[in-house]
Amino acid sequence: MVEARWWHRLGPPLIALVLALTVGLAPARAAYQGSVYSNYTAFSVCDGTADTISTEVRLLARNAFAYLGYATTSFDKTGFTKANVLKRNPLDSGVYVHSHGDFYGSSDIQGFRDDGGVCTQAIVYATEIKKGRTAPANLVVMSTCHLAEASRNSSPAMSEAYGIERLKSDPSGGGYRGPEFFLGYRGIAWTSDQLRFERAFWGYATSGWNLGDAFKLALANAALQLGTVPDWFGTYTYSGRPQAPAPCSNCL
Amino acid sequence: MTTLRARRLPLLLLSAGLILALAAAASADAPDVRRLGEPMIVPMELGAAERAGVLDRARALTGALGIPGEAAEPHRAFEALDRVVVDEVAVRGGDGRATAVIRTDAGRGDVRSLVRLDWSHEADRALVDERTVPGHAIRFALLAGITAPDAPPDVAWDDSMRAWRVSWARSIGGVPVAGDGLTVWVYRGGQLAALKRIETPAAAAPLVRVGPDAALEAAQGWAERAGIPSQASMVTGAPELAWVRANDFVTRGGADDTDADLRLVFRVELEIRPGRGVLQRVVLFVDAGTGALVGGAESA
Repeated sequence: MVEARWWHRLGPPLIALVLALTVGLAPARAAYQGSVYSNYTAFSVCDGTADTISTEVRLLARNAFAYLGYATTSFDKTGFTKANVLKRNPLDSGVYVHSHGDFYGSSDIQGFRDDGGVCTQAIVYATEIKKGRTAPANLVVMSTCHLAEASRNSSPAMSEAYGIERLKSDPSGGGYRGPEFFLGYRGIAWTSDQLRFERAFWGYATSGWNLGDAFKLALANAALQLGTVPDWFGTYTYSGRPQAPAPCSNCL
Repeated sequence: MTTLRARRLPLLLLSAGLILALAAAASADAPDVRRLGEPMIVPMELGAAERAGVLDRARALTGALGIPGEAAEPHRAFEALDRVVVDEVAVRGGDGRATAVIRTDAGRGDVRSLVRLDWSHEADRALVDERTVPGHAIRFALLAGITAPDAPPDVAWDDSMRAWRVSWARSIGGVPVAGDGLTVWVYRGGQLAALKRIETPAAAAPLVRVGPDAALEAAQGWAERAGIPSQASMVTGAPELAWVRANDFVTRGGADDTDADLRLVFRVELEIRPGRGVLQRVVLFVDAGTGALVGGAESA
């Protein structure tokens, strides 16, 4: 029997190291962070209902973000805190929030509630989001009331806080806004309508349609019963896949 | 004497351990992937004859409406949330680009939606306005085989569709149907942007109805059982009759889907403040025949 040379013995560990590094570094290569937040507590514990929508929309968004290529993590209950949102904010390329959204405080600033596992939920203000950002986000979905509306004063609207102006490119690609898309709702949004619209939107967005087409198809196909009004801003023809933002002097 | 294989064993174990340790560290930060749960849309088999029928219907529509391209990729699915089976077809031009997507009710063959995706700058020419756009909408509906109601429609500019939205809400016996009706979106240039028609089958209206007071009582009972203090909930407005699809809002362990048929209910709206300063709106559906709670919804 021939004794193996010492470097032969190094073969398996070296192969293992290469394999492990390949596996271990894969998420790091996906440099575009996606954060999906859903307020479970507000829609179940706090109002005594048996809500499953907050979980369903979170899973729909999480799967879609992962499909589109974001290194996605989803949070609810004690994971969806204001502190966590603001900590992750600077690196978020994709953001999804399902919660209460409104104009809050005496200054009427747009914001959304965190979860935190309690019913006294902190408000994450658009001004705080904007303060933490250095670059525009790619894909932002505010599954809340009111946050597709214009700001009521000089503070930024939520889309603007993420660097997405309240403008729409045209369906032929004209007026290109860069790789960015904001989806939100005007006025009061009802969670059962949101579930139907978002299920349709993500369904199309993850099956070969650009986000503008996905929006149109979802609006025409979802059976919205309670008058919920979705709206969008950004680039109609954008696929939603994360990429470096185009230079934009007015974005932030 | 130990064999070579035996001597390599520690190294192999070390290697395996290294892989597992690093892979575990990686997976802690890895993206979430949803495990399969209750599907909200279930693909269904489409037989050859049905497939041909779906394509024929789509071709008839594209011909009538002058939509360029060839109907292709028919597929059928069960929309679990709304308990309806639909057929969907993409229409593609010679360059492979989609010019429209058409959805029909698989059972009845009626158009549920038609969305044009072949936008051009002609669509932005201001040739129609609030006054003239209903005529265009009625014509497009007719070409799609739908007779618009005689009642005057609601007309509004829809920035999200870059088009005028002309809509006729549906009612049964003078009572509105939540979400049902005909909507036609027409571009400023007078071209069809999209069309949507939902007509949910309705159950028979109850012969005897409970009064609005019974509906209020049921709503207040719900708030009490939900643990909302009476000072934190307020009924807003009087209960109103509506046709809705019952759902599992008031039932534990539901799956957010609705009944297939419409039911006549009283809609009772409440404002509740379950947390400090948090305002939430809730609408409850109280069966107009039995007075039982049969669903509802909450605002975000």
